Amino acid sequence: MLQAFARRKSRLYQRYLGHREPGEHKVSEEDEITALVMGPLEYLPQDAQVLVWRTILEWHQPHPPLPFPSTAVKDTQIHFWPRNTIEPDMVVELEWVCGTRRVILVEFKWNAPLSGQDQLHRQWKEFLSDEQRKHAIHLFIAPETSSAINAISDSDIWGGRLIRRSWPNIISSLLDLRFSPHRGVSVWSVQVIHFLKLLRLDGFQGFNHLQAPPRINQDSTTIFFRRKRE
Amino acid sequence: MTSPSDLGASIAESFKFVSNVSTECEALLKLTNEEVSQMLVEPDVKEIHSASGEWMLSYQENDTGWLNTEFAASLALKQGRKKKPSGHVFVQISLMGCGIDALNNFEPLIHVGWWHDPIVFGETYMGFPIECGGDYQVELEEGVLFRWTHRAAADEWCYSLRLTDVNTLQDVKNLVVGPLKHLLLGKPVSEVLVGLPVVRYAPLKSDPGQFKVAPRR
Repeated sequence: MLQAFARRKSRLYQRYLGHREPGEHKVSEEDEITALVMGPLEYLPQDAQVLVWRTILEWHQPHPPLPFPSTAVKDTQIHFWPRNTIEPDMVVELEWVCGTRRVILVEFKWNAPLSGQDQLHRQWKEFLSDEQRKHAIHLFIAPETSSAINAISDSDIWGGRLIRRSWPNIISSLLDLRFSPHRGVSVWSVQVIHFLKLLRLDGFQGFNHLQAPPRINQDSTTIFFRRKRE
Repeated sequence: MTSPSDLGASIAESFKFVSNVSTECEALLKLTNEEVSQMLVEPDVKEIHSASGEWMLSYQENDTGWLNTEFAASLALKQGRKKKPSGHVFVQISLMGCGIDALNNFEPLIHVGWWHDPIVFGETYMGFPIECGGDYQVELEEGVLFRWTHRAAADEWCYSLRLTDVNTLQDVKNLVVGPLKHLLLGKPVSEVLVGLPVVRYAPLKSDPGQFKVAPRR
């Protein structure tokens, strides 16, 4: 579908901007966007997957928590909507040959608020085992991330390992991946950036770049814009 | 006389412009919410205020329901370990209507403030003329900050920016987040707002509650 959006073959993305087909009431926006954006990662080689997660987590972070090692990758696993008592959107498990392991617990938001003020707290405490939590990172991606800031303010149980990324911030970090030597990562990042821009998620650009329409003076014969005569 | 084709082209151009403005307004509101929330966890602020719940959004439509003409986001704050919110910080973007209807103002405005209640259009919102009287008194400090006093509530305040003066993240930090933080911490208006490109008002004695806007400096 990312290809269809990129080549302007589909306007299905409009469902994420509020458009509904006749008789259609419920759209699982968050789940569909999660699958659209993150689904292709499952098909990428392991080192390419690690590159993507490293870029998202460590972009412009001089001191990222639990930095990734630079050794070769041994194994990667992605689980979409894994369920025990609570269901995060994604869990990514990474393992390197040096023995280092990371668990990335990912929660995406689109338009909806958190499912209860303690949703992130519950994911961290209830989904992960004590052992997993030692090498885990909680990643919150949303149009804006004040919910995660408030969660930390309420009770900081993460010790710096709840990472907030707004969608505009994700676009900025993916811009670096467009020239990745991994062909799949490069294609994926270009298509995801295009998709997120279609959803107007490229962040605040300011007003001073907008082209104001010409004013029409009803009492004047002045022509403010003129079409080329045939 | 404007030709039908020129008029048609102007309508099309204008709607494209309105669409682009609304996209930027939505993005600005999201960015502002995030930056204000980030400010609230800074140690000096957190000592006094902390967020209580999520940002609440409110939208005002025009009379026919075609357009959103004003948008606002409010966040409840609590003090210390108290469970009950002590008030709401808010950012209200007014593109047209009473939110910009101060005398001599022809531009969209951003109102930034601290009120007891959240912004809910139709009930509680910033607009001109400002309702006052009874238990509520409004005063204008240094020509830039409206301050309401009420015998039963803590003071409430609000200042205004011109929308088109806010174009970057740095503008959001300098004109919204910084002043909001310092006003919440009780710094005097003369230190916080004077010198910034905020809207300067003057009261109209002939029309209580109405204010005249000074031209841009």
